[in-house]
Amino acid sequence: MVYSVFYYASEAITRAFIGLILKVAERMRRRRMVEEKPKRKMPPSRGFFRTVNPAGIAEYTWVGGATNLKVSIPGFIRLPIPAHEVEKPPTRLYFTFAEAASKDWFKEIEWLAEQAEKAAKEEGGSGAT
Amino acid sequence: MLLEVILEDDVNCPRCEKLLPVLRRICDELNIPFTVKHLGNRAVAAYEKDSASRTFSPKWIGKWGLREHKKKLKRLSPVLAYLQRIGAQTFPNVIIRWHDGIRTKEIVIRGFSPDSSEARRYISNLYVLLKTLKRVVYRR
Repeated sequence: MVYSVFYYASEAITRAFIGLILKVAERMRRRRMVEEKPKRKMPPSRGFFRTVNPAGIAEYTWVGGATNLKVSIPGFIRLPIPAHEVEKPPTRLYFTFAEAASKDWFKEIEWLAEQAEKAAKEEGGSGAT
Repeated sequence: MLLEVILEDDVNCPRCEKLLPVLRRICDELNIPFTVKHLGNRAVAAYEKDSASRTFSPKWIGKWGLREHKKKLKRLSPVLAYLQRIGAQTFPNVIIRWHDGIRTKEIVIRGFSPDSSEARRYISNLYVLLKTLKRVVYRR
């Protein structure tokens, strides 16, 4: 019995098509054994950042990628630039003069630092402080 | 910079004038970078969110305040009155900033009373703290 080229071609296409459907069905039926960890979004490291300089004036800072350039533009005019906000401010501990002048100041610093670390751990999830 | 001290002060603040030479001497002795920031009317100090959250009196804001001040005056006037009553100080702010290898950390100390009996202890506490931090940060 002799089959034509069209017969073989149509058989191959049908096999491929049915195989694909079976594979998809099997994949959908498969139970997930391990839950995938949600990916944490990395903070942006380049581009425009909206910052405030030490004098309290809003400015845009461009941080370059390959060129390692850092350029600040005073934000006197609201520029139509999609800028990133700086995400993580430094950990700050606040004291008044009376607290700083007390005998137990160092104990207070220790306690506050511990609390700040705990809070940062809870916030960060996996414990990057 | 691994460890630095910043003094936020106002030009018209007599307390800042007294604290500045003492702090400069401590930092020179310990060889720690020291910066003075003269903050004006619009500047945002270490503990503030914006320039309108200064501890000015409601009367002062009514007469001299910025547009931002006047906008928030109605809501903040009882707080401002309280801050005036307890004598809360705006300046000087001493900011001790260091990097522990992972993240920048800051200690902000607000206010200074040169005439009080606690001034000496305050200075000595600052000295001890800076000396310890220097040892921790530079591993010396």
